[in-house]
Amino acid sequence: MTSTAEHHEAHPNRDATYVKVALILAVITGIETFTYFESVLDFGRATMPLLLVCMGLKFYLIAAYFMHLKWDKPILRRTFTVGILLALAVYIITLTAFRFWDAVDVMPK
Amino acid sequence: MAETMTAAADTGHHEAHDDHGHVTNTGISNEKLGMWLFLGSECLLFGGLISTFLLYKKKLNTFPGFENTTVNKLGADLFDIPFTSVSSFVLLMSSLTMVLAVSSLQRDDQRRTRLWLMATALLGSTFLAGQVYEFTAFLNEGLGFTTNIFSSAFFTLTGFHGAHVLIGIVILMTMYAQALRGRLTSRNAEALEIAGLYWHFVDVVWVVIFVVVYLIK
Amino acid sequence: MALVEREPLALPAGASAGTAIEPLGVLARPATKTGWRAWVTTVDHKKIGIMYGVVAMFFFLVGGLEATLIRLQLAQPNGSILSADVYNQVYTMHGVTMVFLVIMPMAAAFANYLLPLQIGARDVAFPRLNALSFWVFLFGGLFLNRSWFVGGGGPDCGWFCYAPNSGVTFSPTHGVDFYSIGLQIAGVASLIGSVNLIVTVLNMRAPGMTLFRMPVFTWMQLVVQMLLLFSLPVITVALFLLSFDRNFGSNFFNVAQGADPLLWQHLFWIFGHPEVYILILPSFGIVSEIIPVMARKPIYGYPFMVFSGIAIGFMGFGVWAHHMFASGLGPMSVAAFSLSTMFIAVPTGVKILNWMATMWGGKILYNTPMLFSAGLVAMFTIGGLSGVTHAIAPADTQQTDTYYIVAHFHYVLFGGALLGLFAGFYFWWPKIFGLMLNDKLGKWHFWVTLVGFNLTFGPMHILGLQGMSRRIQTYQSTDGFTFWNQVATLGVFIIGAGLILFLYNCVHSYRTWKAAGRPNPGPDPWDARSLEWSIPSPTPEHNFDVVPEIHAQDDFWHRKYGEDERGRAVRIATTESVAQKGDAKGVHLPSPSFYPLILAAGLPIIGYGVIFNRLIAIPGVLLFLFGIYGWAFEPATEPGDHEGDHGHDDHGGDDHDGAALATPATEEAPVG
Repeated sequence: MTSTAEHHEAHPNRDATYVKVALILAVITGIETFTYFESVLDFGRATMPLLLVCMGLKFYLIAAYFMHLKWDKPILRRTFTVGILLALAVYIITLTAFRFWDAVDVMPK
Repeated sequence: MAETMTAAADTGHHEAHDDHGHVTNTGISNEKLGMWLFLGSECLLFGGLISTFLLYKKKLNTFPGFENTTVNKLGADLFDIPFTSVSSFVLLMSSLTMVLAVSSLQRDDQRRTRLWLMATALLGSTFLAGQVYEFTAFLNEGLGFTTNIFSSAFFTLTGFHGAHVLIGIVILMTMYAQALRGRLTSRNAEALEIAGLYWHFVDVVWVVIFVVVYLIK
Repeated sequence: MALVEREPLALPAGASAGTAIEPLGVLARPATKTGWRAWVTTVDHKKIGIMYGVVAMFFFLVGGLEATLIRLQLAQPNGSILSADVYNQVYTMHGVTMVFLVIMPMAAAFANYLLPLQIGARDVAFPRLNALSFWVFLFGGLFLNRSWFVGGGGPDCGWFCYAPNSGVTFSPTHGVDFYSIGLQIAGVASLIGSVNLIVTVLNMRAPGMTLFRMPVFTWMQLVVQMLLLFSLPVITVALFLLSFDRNFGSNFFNVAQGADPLLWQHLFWIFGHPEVYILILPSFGIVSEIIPVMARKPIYGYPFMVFSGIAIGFMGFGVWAHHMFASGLGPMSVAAFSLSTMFIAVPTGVKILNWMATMWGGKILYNTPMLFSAGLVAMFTIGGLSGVTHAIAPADTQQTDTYYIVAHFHYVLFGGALLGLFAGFYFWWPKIFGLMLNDKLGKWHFWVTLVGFNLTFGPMHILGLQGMSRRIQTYQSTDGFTFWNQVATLGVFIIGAGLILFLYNCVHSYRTWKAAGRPNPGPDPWDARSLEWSIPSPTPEHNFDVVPEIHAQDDFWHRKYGEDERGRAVRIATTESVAQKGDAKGVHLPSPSFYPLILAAGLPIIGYGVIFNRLIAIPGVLLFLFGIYGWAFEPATEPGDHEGDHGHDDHGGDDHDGAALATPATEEAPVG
């Protein structure tokens, strides 16, 4: 049918890309998991930043490729970004007000 | 004045005499735009739950008088990271099968669509089963929903996520039932894509939870 | 397929088939256009808007009754009309009712009715979701008020319901359970509504209606819906935590276990402060429509109006902790939030200056809508200024929990939001019901309300600065609070008289209109500027005969008026010649549906189940699921109603087949 043909044009076959992205995601998850086994590989003080970077990367890959934000209209990306940034802003401020970031000062026992 | 701003303000185009449903100002269907708005909103829902968890995890660490009681057993000591890594991986791969299902349907390959849909639902169910197993293990260790502030926050956060996964599975199975009756065709590809958006979002939330809740100490 | 709710927006395509077709779905759709069935199954944004308005007006009477009880209790020292316990419940429910069940739904009434008209659309993006959000709101509101009868009294923790006061220990009745679940349900309604209206505005504008040609009211509603979209999930979290604590024994606000009650305050006010702008911005939008029409001038500084609205929206997320200055946040947090709060006064001030500049030099028509609008500008300015005094943290430490705060927020919510909504009632009444409200009675209504309002809330500034505490059920004769309290109580009865004048006006105007042979006010009784006035009054079911093409801001005005060589406005066309006739035939409209009502009815039953007995929840869940699946498998439009829609549809025959896919959008919205 003609419309099927149109669909072909409108939706390029990206299956190979998806599989590649999934592979990268799997590798990153592997790295993340490894940080837990300090005896195998100790990242020391870099552990937390590394984990956060891994997390951000995975988040980006899923949103950009699997959720098609990379190819979709910018307004969708903006909507989602506003939600994420707003959430980060209000909750980081809240946690700051709770002095969450201060070094853990275990109260006198 | 205002007129000078109009050109930049609106990127959508119109076919003046064709008010056909497919033409929207933004060029995006109402349903897809609505789903993305909803997902934007969900960011603040999970953000709130994650913040609550982080706050109470730290609070319990610093709260005097609870250090040596068994009640205070921190979930972090109970976490079975290898197990959770596997279930995280399972959920991650369900995103791949989901996107392949959408891609198959866009090509009107209904047989593959059904296959990938079923795979996605099964992977999602595996993840859920893993969560049930984990919860049971915690309960057996004496860490229940009401045990302490940490456990309440933990079960609420992961429970909310699990509920989202469950709803996702129900949606997928409904779609699958439609597919079996031959009612899921390339014309509905966008409906499946929107269901997929929801599914990927649930996955993305778990990406955050896995790091913030399980891996960061 | 069910997902596609946009099909009905096709242009008229000749006479509709009208043949009897076996309806799909389990429940047959009603065929009538009148009677109760037409109302409970309607998906027409206009009918839904009217229902919102009626229900909000009912709750306004309930909330007003509660206010009167409070004032009667405080009319004299050692008042004994309400016990301390009941007093707590009454002021809590007064606040909750006025915020969630009066001002928000009244604004939603205008949004539902006017947004599609102002952007030139035939309906909202998701007509059935629109019906769903109304029914969910209605059931949520009724559920909340059921606590008086089956919950052992209303919630008694204040509308903000601070922890740990909201815990079972301090509030052992079911009142707070009804509060948390009732607001949760009402929140679902607002969330669905916000997604729906944002999509409508972004996606369904008429050709040429660019974002910066939209009327200011539409803009303000867009900002409000954005605020709702992003702030509601936060209160959702807070209410879930509260419910879990009370009903399932979790420890979120259990101080003995090391919980931090400030968590509730943060979550509540991250939602609560945007909520303040959610309440006021619709009224700002309404007066921004009325003042230019009555001053016979275009709105002054349209882009400034729009951008200040957007700025208020964004900054509204960054000031929440100014509600918590007295809670021991620490000097850094207090200083930061104090500054951000002062900054948010700037865009608000821009709006006030723009309204005044719009009026300046205009030939102002002092009719009822204009009086209410001017009343808003004046009263809101007073409230806004007293608000700036709270921004200064040391001053706020003195003002917190006194009547000074009560005075402030009534000046912005009553003097601001409510006066604006009443202005809207008078202004759009002819468009909605096809008859004008009596202007003389309306002016009486305005002046009586204005006097009563100032008598009630003006003295509270004094009482507050003298140190009278909020939320205390009485005072002593030696406190020196007696005189101003009596003035305030007198004021509340004058406000009541004003409200009765309004209700009488509704009846009186209808009767005289009927006696005069139902004269039609014409499409454009105010010689107004926006699109809704280019179609007949009352609005025809299909809104527009032909979807208009927009060439400028205030397009309708420019079709009526041109400029002479000296730049003055001159008539170039009569209203009759440019207005639509409303006689289009065969316009495809979305079909009515029972499912929104059924789905919504399940929610309060689940709520009872959570509170009383889990078994009760089972029928609720079943009803809910039946609603969702019935909905998902019911096409938005009856198959027979939409041939001819598809100009380039090559599928023809199987058009009805795909009619049945569960849509994530419709399935998801209720649980979020």
